[in-house]
Amino acid sequence: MVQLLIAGLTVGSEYALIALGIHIVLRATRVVNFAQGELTIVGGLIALSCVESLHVSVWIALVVATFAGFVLGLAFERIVLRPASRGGETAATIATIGAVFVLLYGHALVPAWGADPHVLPPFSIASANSGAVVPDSVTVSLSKGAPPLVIPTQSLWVWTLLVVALVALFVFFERTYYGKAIRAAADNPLGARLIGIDVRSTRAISVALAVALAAYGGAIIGPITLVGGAGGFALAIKGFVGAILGGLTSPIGCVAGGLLVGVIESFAVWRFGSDVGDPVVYSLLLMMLLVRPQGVFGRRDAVRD
Amino acid sequence: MNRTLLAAVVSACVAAPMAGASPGVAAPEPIKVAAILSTSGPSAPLGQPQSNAVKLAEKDINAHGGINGRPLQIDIVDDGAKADVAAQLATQMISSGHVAIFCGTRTDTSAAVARVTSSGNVLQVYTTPTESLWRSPRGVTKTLFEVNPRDQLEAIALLTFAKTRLHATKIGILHDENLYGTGGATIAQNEAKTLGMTVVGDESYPGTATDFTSQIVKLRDAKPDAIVLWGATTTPGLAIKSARSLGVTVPILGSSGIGSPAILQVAGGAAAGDVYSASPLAPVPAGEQKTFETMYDGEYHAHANAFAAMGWDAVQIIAAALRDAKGKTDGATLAGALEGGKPLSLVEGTYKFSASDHNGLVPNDVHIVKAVNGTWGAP
Repeated sequence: MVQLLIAGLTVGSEYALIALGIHIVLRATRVVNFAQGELTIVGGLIALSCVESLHVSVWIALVVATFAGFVLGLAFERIVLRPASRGGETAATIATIGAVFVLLYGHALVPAWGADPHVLPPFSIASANSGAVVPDSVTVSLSKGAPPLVIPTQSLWVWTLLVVALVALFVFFERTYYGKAIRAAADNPLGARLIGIDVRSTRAISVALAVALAAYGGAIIGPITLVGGAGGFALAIKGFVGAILGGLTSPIGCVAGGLLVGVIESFAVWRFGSDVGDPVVYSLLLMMLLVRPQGVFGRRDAVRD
Repeated sequence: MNRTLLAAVVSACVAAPMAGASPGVAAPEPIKVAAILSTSGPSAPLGQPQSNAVKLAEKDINAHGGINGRPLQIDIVDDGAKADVAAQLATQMISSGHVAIFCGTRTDTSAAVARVTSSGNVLQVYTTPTESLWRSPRGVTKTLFEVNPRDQLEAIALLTFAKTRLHATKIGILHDENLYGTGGATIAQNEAKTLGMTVVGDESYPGTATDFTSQIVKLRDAKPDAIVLWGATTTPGLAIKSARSLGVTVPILGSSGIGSPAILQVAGGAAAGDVYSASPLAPVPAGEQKTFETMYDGEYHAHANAFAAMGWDAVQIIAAALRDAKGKTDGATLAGALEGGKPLSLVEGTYKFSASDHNGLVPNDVHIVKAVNGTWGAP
């Protein structure tokens, strides 16, 4: 059971980052960004190119992919969200679905990426240069006769880097002037303009942060799930389910919801089989929308918004 | 005099072009065949070598006189691993005069095209081991033929190897949820029971799965002596990696769908442990296989894998049918030519087709290979 929890929290970390990215974009633009999953895929591929073409370590690749995601996010806001938003929030949301397919088929055209998944090296300290060897996993003996608990090293990195990202975002939004300005512009655009905040640029920065988060997530989970392939939209849906479960308006709720989706999926597959995993997750979505549409941590008045 | 000279010059000008001309001979019209392959998408590692082999086979056949003096023209199109696209392409190809279809790389695309070719009376050859496409409770699909040892032969070979060489008595099965994986798993279960082995677990995964912990934990707890893995594309590699990282050390025996070096790379190279695969190619090439591999290497400077061999055999089978049908190109006639024709010694074995057997191979045509240093070799 604990093994399943470990697997669920690992995959759930990816869903949590996607859910958080959806929350950030939604709060700034009132648009649900269904391309968040595909942007995660692209982030992983950028990290792959850094490792394979530039021959840098995965750590540097992670930083480069995150910054590249930020730049990509600025472009995404300018090219997709801003023009589509003139037609309303629904039009912009539909535009993000279109962006999914542009990114999906677009990344397959890049010669170094193609449509197939690729292997990204793990984040373990061991490298060809250091000569140090770190085991690929941490093994914990349980009761006598029972199989040991295996915690892949990469899972430990995923959880650590998830916490790092959450702390960084917390500090940015709660403790920096620009972060507070972004929150103000998101909560009350007119009021923000009146006090001199450039709402347009805060929107752009918000989206860029969300896409940077997606790229970051794609790079840290890549060594476990491979990078590339066609699973981006499914990731976005699961991230969205996590955001609904936890509360679209609550960043903590989005993270908790994403982790919960990963754990529930892991146990559902174990109990009922892989073909039931997705229906169980989507059933949760329907139940939550019927019973508590604001999510576990969300505000009730957010439903009307 | 001037008029006479002028007439002579004009006559010479008119006659000269005709002097060297022989009586008009139209070039023979090519016979058009379509190859609908998955050269992009998740099955590209399988479809691309098939495409290469198809081009090589076309070149070779035309270099030896074509089909009864007519050149063979094979038009290769990409279905992107999508069944609906494959079916649309099949309809287009048949409408534009292609008399036979090689499709395809995947079971779902092959099945989608089979619905088009069987209703259109067009010969189709496909390469996945799924026997159920041409053999069903309703009987044999007349126009559908299978290159590659069918899944029943693979299951017999894998499980016999597990029993006799690995001394396994308890088998766990892990398979893709798709038609290929589910069909293979069912056959593997039946063959295991026939061989007196116990199936202690049967788990499936979706084709896009990235986490296999739930399935591996269940299989691990059932304590099998070996695990049969039935899948294709890179996903089985991730399953192998997951199994090893969760402490599953028993041998893993995969269907031929896992037989590409790319999967071993995903599985972690040497960390993949004891991994075996069914293969239509012998680990030590000889005969037709050696000739083909030499030709493929000379053309593409790459090693010919099983998928390339499938592509080659498929084209040769279609060509044999067209030659024996002597001008007729409808599916039923071509099928009859294969069913009643002489055995075809090709790369993957000697095909002996009949009205009840549209695969034509036997269990000895399946070889078992082992993952060694990131590639497949003799066990």
